[in-house]
Amino acid sequence: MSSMSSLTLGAGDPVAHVINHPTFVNESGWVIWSSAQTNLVVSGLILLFVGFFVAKAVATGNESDGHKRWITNNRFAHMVEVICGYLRESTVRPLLGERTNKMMPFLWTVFFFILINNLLGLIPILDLHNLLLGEAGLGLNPEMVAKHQAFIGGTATQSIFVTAGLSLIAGLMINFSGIKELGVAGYIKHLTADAPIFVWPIIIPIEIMGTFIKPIALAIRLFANMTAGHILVAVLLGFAADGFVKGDVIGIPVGVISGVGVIAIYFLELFVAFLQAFVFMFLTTVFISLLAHHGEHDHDHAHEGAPAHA
Amino acid sequence: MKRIAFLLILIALATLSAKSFASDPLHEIEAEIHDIAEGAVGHDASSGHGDAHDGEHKSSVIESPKAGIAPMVTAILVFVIVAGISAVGIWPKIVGGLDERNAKITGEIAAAEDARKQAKEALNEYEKNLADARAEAQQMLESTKAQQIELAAQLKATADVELTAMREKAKADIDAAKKQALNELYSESVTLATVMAGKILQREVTAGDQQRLMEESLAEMKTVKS
Repeated sequence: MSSMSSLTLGAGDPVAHVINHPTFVNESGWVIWSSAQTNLVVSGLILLFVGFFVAKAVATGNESDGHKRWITNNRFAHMVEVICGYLRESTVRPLLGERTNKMMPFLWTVFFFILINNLLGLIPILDLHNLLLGEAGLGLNPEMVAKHQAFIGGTATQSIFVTAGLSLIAGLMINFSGIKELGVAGYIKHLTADAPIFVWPIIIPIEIMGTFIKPIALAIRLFANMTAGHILVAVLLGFAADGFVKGDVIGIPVGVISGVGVIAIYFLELFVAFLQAFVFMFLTTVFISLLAHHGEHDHDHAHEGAPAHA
Repeated sequence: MKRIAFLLILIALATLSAKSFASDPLHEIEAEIHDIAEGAVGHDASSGHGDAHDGEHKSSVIESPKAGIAPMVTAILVFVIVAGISAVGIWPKIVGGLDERNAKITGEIAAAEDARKQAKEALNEYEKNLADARAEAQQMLESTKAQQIELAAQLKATADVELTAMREKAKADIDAAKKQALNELYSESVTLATVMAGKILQREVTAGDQQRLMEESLAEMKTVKS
């Protein structure tokens, strides 16, 4: 355990390596600021700065540029443009149809905000922070490391409260969009699922619960997927550290195998970062679409379970 | 250059990590004792990070509300602000770029399709005209050929007539010349024969004799000839 804590730089167990770390705590024990919050702010700034850069590159140029004004010259901007185009045309438009253009700003923001947070979590900012402050003794504030506090680091989307906040926004958007699309009467009628009246006492509570369960499922899915992968990485790093520190016939192979495993899992995490951002956005789109198609209620519910397993 | 910088960062990280491996043994022993002691008292893992030392050794992935509310509020605020700003300054430009490019590409494809149709129609018209021209040329060729054949036949007939006439005329001329030559030959032969006969007979052959001899000779020649 002690050598594992050496690699995870102050953490006593793998979970401690991946959880949110407080920066400021008041006298009542409430966390005022934590590393995840800094991550959220940084990811928001990244989204805005990168977004403005990409928007400038993607927007049609001046007529004086000739035919080049139609071309996105920057490769990164082109990649983002392709992702935006794919999400709009291949993912959202088949589900939302005419409402696509109105909903895309929100859905794009959901996707990229979660994606940036997921990717930030793959950068060992917390380890660098602890190394520089605690181990290297740069004199910034070593006491923070001793108290296991951090300015920045970790993965914001592996905090159930952060994913709950995002899901709350998604849930509000789903239901407001449904009310706008169906009207208040239509929205209430939707809770009956077009079932016979004698089934209403069962159906209506289920539908009402479903209204809350959908965003809760979004929150838990994102939180669980991001947390599990990071814990796995931390555990494997712990194995690698213990193996190399032990340095004997068993320790070295364990360290090498675990090190290779960490690299493989990191690539998987990179994929999961994109996948979970997509799944959150896609399921939000599906839930929005469910509150619009009157005649396809049964059909939609038949498919509702499928993406929920993603 | 970027790769060198990346390698330098990795080396720095490895160095710092190696330093972290060489931690104080007394601290490790103290931590182990602390772990054992906390395990003995049944430490509550969800007690959050209020006690920093607790969080160092026993943590939970689900934070307490005291630790989680602030990140949740921050997440909502940051998301709403980012969504609001991007909805005004980012997404409209990207949507505009995507739609305008889509319209441009669709328009260009439609224009290319129209141009292709026009080219095809022009090609069909050209091929039709070419076929008509070829048919007309063929017809003219055949007509000309027929006229040539007719003209040739006409010329040949005329030539045949002329040749026949010339041949007849030549034949007649030849016959006439031949007849005249024969007559002259006969006359000369008779005269010569008469002269020779006179010399042989030592007497003058008269005109009557000559006439008689000539007639007899002619009769004999005709007999021999037949």
